[in-house]
Amino acid sequence: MIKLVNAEKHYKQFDLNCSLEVRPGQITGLIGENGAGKSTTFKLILDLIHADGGEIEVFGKLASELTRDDKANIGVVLSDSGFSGYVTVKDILPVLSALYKKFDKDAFLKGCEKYRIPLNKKIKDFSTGMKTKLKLLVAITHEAKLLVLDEPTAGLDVIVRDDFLEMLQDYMSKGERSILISSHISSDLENLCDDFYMIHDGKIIMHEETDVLLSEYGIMKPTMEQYQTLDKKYLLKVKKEAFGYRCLTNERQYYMENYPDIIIEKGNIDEMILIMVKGERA
Amino acid sequence: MKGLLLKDLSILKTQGRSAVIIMAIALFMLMVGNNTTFAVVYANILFVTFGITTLSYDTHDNGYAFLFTLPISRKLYVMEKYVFSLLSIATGATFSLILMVGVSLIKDGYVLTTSDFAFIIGYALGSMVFLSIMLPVNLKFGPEKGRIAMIIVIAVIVASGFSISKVVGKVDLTKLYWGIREIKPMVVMGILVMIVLVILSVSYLISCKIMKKKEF
Repeated sequence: MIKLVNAEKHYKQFDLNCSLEVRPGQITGLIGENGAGKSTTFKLILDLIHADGGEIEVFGKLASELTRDDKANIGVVLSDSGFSGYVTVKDILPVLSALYKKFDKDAFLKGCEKYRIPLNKKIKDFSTGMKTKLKLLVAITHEAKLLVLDEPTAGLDVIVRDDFLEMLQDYMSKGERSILISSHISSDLENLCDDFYMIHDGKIIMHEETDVLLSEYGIMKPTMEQYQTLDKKYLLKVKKEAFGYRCLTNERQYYMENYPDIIIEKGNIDEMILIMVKGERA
Repeated sequence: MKGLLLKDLSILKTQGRSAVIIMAIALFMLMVGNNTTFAVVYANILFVTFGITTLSYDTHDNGYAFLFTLPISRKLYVMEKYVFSLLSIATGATFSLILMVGVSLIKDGYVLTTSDFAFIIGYALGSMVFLSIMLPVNLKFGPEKGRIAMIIVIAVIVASGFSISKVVGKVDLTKLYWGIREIKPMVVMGILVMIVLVILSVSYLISCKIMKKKEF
């Protein structure tokens, strides 16, 4: 669905060089801290900015050569951009009907009712949650084959986040569709994504299937002494701390069997990012 | 195109009240005075700038980024802005015409002349030239910087007009004047329309180029 091969974008103080792939039927997460290059990557995919090098393909075509029909097959949610705040949902209904041949007005209105999105209120007076739900509803009600969601969960409370995930699961249940979603808080995506890309300083520093990440990766916490005798073959990154080390491994089982005295945890993805970004090679 | 036009219309609903007030004031001016020219100019100012107004709503709150993820191309967006602005100018001219005809029917001593109609058409053509400068300038610099750029553009036009008039002032234009007078008014109008169409086309091509380069 999406393929980036060494996609480059250069700014004065930031360089992006990113390769990633979103396969049909998959939900792929792009995680990284603020300013890591997530939005730049998304903008390249959506042809909002021009690439300085590399290849960017969507539906097997160059992103810059997508037709209007191709674009109608993509649903997009951007955290910092949407319909003008001065219009109401009722105002955008005819616009969506005219823009998207496959716009499902009934499903859209049902969604508005279910997720309590007011039809006659100006969008600028919506809460953050309402705005996000509206954006997602617009993205999923025109039979898009691909969703591109940039930081959609930013600023959402638990209940809205739950609504949001429900909408995405409902979307994925209807045929072979794909989602590329980014967030700087990966716990949002842990139960949703099939695979993850971790981006830091404009580069992909890790790519792994979620199952593998949760079953084979682990965070080890050896003391200074334990660390000296440790086999460092399967340590990806190591971060020195006040009373010892924090080590990220992709062979949790190996260390559990051979070093039963060392504390080793499954760890969540946020902790893994922290070690990947702040740690050093063993 | 239809979707974009509907989007701009929904944005303009917020301007509806101002349009009604302006039309009422223009009607009042026509009823109490005989200054058709001023009333027409006044009634049309809002219509001429409608296209530019929607453009500033589009750019507000980083709106462009989302807008260009919709199934539209940059070229279509530019085309729609020109179509919308031209429709808006045509609406303004039609309203002015209705106002003038209406007032001439109910007000004693108010007689419409050919020059009144010619003025509306001339004003609409002038508005199109204005638009041909305003749209690319606003697309290039955005509504905020666009305003400053516009002041500079107007200053340059006035300054060059002034210098041209100084040069031309020394040339005897009587021949040209009598030459134009000999041409039938419809032919003059035709030539003017052609000139405006050329200006609009060049402006459109420049705007397309500006939008193609833009990043959001």
